[in-house]
Amino acid sequence: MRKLYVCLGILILLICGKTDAQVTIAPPLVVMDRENPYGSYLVANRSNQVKEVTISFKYGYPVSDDEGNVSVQYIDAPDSSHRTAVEWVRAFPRRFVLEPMQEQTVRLLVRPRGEVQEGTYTARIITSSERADSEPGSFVNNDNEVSTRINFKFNQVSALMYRHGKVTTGVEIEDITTKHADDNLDVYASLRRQGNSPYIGSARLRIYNGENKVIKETSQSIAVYDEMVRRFRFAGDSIPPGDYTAELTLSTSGRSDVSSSVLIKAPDVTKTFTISI
Amino acid sequence: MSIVFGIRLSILIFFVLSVVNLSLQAQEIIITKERDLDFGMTFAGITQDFIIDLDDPGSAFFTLTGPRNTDIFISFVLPDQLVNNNGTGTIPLTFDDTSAGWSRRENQTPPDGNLFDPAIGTEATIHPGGGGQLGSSFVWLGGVITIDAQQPAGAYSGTATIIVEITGL
Repeated sequence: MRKLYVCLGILILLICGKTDAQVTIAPPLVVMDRENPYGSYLVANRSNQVKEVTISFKYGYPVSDDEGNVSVQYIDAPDSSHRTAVEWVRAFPRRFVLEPMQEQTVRLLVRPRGEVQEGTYTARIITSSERADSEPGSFVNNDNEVSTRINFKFNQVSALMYRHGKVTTGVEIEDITTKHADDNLDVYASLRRQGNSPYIGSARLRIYNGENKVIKETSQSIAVYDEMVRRFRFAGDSIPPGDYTAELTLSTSGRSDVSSSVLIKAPDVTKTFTISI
Repeated sequence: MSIVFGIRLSILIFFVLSVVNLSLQAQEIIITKERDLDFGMTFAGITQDFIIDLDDPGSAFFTLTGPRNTDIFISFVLPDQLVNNNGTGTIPLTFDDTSAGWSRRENQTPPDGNLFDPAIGTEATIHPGGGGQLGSSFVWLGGVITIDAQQPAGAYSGTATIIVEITGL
């Protein structure tokens, strides 16, 4: 019997315990509201090393340039036009050590201050981890030699949303343009959020031929906090020259990474347009 | 097989499946450092630049695993110098707009379009892979250190941070 336990233990480590893997966190989005200002997420050490974990918060959200290049913009001192929950949220514990294969539930509490308008207030959760034994200077070198080492920290960023009062969301497709460049067909969609909360959903772009058959399709997850340009790229040589009909649909469903129960629902938005290649 | 043994075995199998299930359902990006940024060792008294390109065995190498087709943003916070553990000297550490790169394939050097300034960051996508819910993409980091002729011998170190976040949230 003991041999069986040992074999199964080894099996677990082989499946889940990558040697230098960092901690995993789930879920990637924590939602709280006025009635239930408590939330939590799980931090798990799937490696065989001891990890030191630190939790912190920043205010930021995805933005894009006119070419649809997406990045995350952080604002250290947001003004009143930004709905930040950073000053309101606390994590328990904020710092801890995880032994190999150990887990820790991090509790979150949001306490709004002052007069709060209806809407969704957000923060990014920074879960920072590093080897607990990665002390600078623990490596050695010989006389007259210069040796170097860089220790790595790992910051995994997830999202926190606090909903206050009645929350609504939606998205408007303001404009769609296409461009041929570097043998690619790029479709740019200018999006603007509606309502008082970020639009978290998915976008699906389909291209139809003259027989109304789908010849190309792509989809991506989207988060529109204010306004944004999203780019959809197709390899240019994969579509023969001609005129096509395209259809862009935005939906608050279709997300595999987030439970649909925590997303604010909105009607699907569809825009049809033509593409000439 | 006794009833007690059967119950114990059932509990054990349930535990194994629960752990595996939790691992696969964690809808988050897992960062794995496969290789350190390694400039090697040199003798003091020689002025020299040590350049680590992305295709050099000394480049840092990471695997990002998560839900397939997830759009992510990758960036680094990097030290501009390494400090002697005795506090007697520093070594400048520099990066430029091609010091990092990402690829959908582990054995492929990042294509030119996927090179980026690590301090600014870049968009990337978790590669769908060969099926299933999870996929992977790969990140490399190089850099340059400058050893001065009067560089004190010793062990120099610094801390870098890799930041990964899902852009669809």
